[in-house]
Amino acid sequence: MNKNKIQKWVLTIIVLSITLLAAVLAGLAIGSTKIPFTSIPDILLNAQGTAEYSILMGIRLPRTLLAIAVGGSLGLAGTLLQGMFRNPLVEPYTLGISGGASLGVCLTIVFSLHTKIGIIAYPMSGFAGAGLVIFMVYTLSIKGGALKPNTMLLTGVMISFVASSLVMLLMAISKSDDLHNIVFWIMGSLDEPNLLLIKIVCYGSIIGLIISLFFCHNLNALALGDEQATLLGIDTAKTKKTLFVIASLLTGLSVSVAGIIMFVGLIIPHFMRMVIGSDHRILMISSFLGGASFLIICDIFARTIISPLELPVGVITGIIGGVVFIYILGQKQVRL
Amino acid sequence: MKNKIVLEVNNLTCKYSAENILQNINLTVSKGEMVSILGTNGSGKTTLLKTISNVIKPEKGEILIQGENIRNIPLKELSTKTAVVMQSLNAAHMTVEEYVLLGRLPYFKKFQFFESQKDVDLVHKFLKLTNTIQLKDMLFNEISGGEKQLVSIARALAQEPVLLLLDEPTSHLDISHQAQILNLISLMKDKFGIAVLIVLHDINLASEYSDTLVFINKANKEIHAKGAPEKIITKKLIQEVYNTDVYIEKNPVSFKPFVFLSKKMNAPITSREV
Repeated sequence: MNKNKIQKWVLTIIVLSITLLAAVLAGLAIGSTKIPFTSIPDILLNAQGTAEYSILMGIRLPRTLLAIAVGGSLGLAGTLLQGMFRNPLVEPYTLGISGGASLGVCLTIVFSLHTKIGIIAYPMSGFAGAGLVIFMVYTLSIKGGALKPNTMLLTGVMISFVASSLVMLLMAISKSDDLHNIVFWIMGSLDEPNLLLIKIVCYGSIIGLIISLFFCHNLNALALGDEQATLLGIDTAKTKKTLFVIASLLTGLSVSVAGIIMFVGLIIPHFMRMVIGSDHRILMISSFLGGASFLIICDIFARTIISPLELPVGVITGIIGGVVFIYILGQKQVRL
Repeated sequence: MKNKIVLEVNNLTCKYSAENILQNINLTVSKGEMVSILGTNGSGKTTLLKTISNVIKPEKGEILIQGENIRNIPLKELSTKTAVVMQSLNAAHMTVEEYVLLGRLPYFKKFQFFESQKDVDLVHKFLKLTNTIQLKDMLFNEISGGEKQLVSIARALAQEPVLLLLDEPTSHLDISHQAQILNLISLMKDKFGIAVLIVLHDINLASEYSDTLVFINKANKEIHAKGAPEKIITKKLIQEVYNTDVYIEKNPVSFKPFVFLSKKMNAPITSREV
């Protein structure tokens, strides 16, 4: 392999890892109670039972771990979907996958499925909703055996609207307790007290990354189009089906625990592609690390802008993502 | 002679949508031979190429590569035997070197993450051969149309195929790039013994560079004529296939048939109708 390329990739991973580490430290240090960076290791190792230790271990560390898993998952899901559809505007939110997952979770809240099958009901319903939407978008976007990207994007947006309307319908007919839960959850927050759910999302994101890496060459070939990829020996149908399932799993898990966090899957892959190129071997890893850092930083802003009150993190990512979306739309390379 | 045949198409019928585009197609391409497919627009030339390359499933008939039916050859193995250069060339935000390296994918082992030194050497070899090595760090979508065709041929060669299929590689290109591409293809067949099946629109280019020409007639969806350019290019054949009157002379250098078109021989359709 080209030595320059290896050096560039290693350097990218080192820079992104340092950025992530810095973001993690900032996430642990910054908040209503400020904890100096330098004393974090000492508190974690030697100060069990103190208030600072409880804040770090009980609130900030789980929240930061969740931000890593959710940001990484959404960045990776966006990379997979953009690679498959060869369209930089595609991401879990614009394709309606987030909407489908949120509908699944709302149904779980309204019908109290979590009381019957346990806390696992949230990620399961999120995954089911995401999977159903991606299946519908894919099926409805195929005309004459070929996938129509513009139809796909518009179908995704429409399904997203339908899912939002159904969520509102559920809110209208639900009890006040459920309504409160749905509203709180929809706004998107990384404040999740359940450690099992955080563990599930963390494991899910890492497994998703590892499986996705097996398909990096297939995604590189798909950049030439389905026909050319087939001519390079790639089973395009099998590749797409597998990656759809992975993207649905990553999005479903993220949405079920953290609510709707918009545009991470749009901004991060786009930015990483500009920096490191479109080779999916490095792009997937970069998008995961970049997405994780980005969401931790957005969460810090969400927690501190109007402190002691807290903004939903989805508001921050939505504002940044919306601006980036309009910018990408204005670029020459975007062809719907 | 039989063992030299790389591609054998027997009694092939191709369908596109509900309609038969081509029927009873029989042709062979031998090692080191260049066969050009010619015909009017919409006569099914590209459909034939896509069927042979396994993108479109044939309605009837069989396609054999080195004596083996392509239906029985696994996808990955097939792409080490056949390489295709299509008309539309896309590669999102990818450098020329990365693009050509994709030609080595069929040789990657199951869990191979990085390309081997052999892969890199072959990529550089074919970039040099196509005179595009200086473009290797440029983005594929930012190079010219002619350069894209040359780089695509380099990518196809990186697959180390026995059969190279090309769909109108010289369309929309200037005369210099046309010559560069067809000379390169000629070199490939002569130097590496690659069998070449190429779709061309320009009868004179096909006549100059091909060993065998195959004319497809849109009217009856069958092969109208097949053979060496000197033997089959006649005024009558062009009239039958293209419904156009031409004048045919020999190229003074290569002595291959050369087709002249004169506006005096072909009145505009409107005035003919009037």
